Amino acid sequence: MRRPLPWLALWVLLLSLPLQALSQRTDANNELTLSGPGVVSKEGYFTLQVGVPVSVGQAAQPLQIAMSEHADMSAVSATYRPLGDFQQLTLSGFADGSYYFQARLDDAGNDAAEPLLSDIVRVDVKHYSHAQAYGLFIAGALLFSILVILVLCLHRTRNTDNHG
Amino acid sequence: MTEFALSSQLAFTIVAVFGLAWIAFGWWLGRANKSHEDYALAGRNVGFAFAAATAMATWVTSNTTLVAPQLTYQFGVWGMIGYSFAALGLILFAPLAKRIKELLPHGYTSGDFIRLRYGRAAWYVFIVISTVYAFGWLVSLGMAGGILLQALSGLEYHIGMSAILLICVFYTLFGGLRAVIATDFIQALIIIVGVVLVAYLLMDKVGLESIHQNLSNDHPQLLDLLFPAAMMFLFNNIFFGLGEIFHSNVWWSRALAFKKRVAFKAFFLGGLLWLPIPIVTGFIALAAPQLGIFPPSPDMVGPTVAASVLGEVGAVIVFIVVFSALASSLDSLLAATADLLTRDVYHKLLKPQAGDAQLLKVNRYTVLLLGVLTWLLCLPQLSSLGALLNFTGAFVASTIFPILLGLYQRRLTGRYACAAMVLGTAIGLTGYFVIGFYVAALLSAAVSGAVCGVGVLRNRQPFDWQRLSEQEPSA
Amino acid sequence: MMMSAETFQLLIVTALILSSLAPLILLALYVKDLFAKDLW
Repeated sequence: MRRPLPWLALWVLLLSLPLQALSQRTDANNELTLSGPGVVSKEGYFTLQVGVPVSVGQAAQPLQIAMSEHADMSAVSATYRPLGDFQQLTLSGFADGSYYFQARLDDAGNDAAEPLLSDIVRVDVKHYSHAQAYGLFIAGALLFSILVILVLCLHRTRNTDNHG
Repeated sequence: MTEFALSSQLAFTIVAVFGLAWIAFGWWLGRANKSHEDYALAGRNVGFAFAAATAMATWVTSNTTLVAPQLTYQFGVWGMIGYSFAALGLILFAPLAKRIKELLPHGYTSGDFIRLRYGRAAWYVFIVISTVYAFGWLVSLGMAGGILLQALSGLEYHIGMSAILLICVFYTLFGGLRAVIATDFIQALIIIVGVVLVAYLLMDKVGLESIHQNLSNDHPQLLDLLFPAAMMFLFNNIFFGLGEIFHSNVWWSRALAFKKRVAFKAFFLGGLLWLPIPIVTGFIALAAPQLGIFPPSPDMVGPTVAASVLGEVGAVIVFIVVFSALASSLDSLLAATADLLTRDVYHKLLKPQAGDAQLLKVNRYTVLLLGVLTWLLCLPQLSSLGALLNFTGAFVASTIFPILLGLYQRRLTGRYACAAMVLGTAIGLTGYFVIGFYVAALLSAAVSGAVCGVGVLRNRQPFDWQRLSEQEPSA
Repeated sequence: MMMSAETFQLLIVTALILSSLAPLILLALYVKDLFAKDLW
């Protein structure tokens, strides 16, 4: 009689998983969300993902993502719009530093309504060190030179052999 | 509703019209194929014009048209310059192609060479490397087809992917390498004219000066000549490309199919013609920030910029160019992988007494089988474009030195060649997962080169080139 | 170290010119092979 218990627990767990997922989705769908890469970008590019509430209708203004170098978003340096109704965008060409992003949706049908704002997401960019980059570059160049010299020498020797 | 640059109907019509034309062309050319040699190697008599065009067109893959702009968007100017250095693979293969024609006048595949030169153990390793790479490339091409058609026209992924695969399988099936090479010639013309047209129209609309100005002000990193990640990626990318070309039967079957006096100059010219293409396709990505285009994923930046700046005409051109680029690589890969499997696995491993007619039949079935397998693997749309191909750099770069030295240097033995490929791949893969993608091919080539160097220094028994001229059982 | 506007323009324009020449070269080679009956 003890044996069915673990099975029962498993079934309860399995059945509750989709329900949990559903309830999380409902919560998430009530607010505008923004998420970043989650790790330090070492190449100066990264992807941002936006979650737009289901309740937002067709009247909503296009989604905008503001970028600032201040944590309180006090001075916005640039704004970006995802393509079409994609909820994701990739930005590139960032120098070392910390950047803050916030998504914003205005309700066009209702001027009085407050714009929907997401949480502020911080993205850190720290490029590979120049020493590491030069090191690999030089190692690659050396190996490549060896290969090219080898190809040229072997080709030339073989041609002389054939003609000799 | 997302607005697509092209309507699904127009996209499907383009695919259908081009597809039917290529299949009909393949069938028409295939009538000349009398033997397995005709089918697999186009009668070993391909002239300069077709040879140069097929070398160039096959190397212009979906990667050149989609990944060159992607890398430029990510790494700036170094992305496109670095990518264009992949032409060095074709250029450096030119002398090797000549040597291959001399050493193996009757050879069929790269696997043939490895087996005769290095023996069974190295051959097994080589077949594994070739298969992993071929499937990585086949699947990435098949998936790229579906993704692209969907991104540009909203055509459902599975329909686009299936249509492109079906077309390529059919004309390769009917026409063999002859059809592949002839369609490559036409596709090469379409690709170059298309990318030049898009680049020219974009330059006319946006202007190079204003692109530079905008980048200097807002994204100076993209103009940085000392961009760390780009510098690290540069030589790794070159070795990846070298490994792809040196080992793959796609290039060996071409070397064997070209006329002897044509082999060297065809690859050399093909490489030179290819060199500027990634810059022409890549630079349009630099206009993206100025145009306010921030793509959902970086591999979509090229088609998106072209379509949004040039409207429907631009979208049609981009669509046809990328479709041609996909087809010109997919057909070559199908044909060359089918040759490799027919010759190396079926003929040499399973049925040595198979006659010419039977080999021809098996080769055709293999094309079909590869098509079906690729289709099945592409169905779940597992990872984003290029992810599959990324780690194959570690595999293919390990073959560079064993191939090069095997062709010219008599003192490298099978044992060392085999060790070089196994160790190179293992350490390259470890580097990929432990350090990063930018060291995989580099580490693999370096380790494999070092093992080969030791092998050459230690061996005192030179290989007899006569052993390469294998007697064929009369068919 | 930034790429100057002149170098940038030179790079793109050169690449564009070289690419424009490619189809002409291929077609010329095709015609030559065709007349010499050297296509295949």
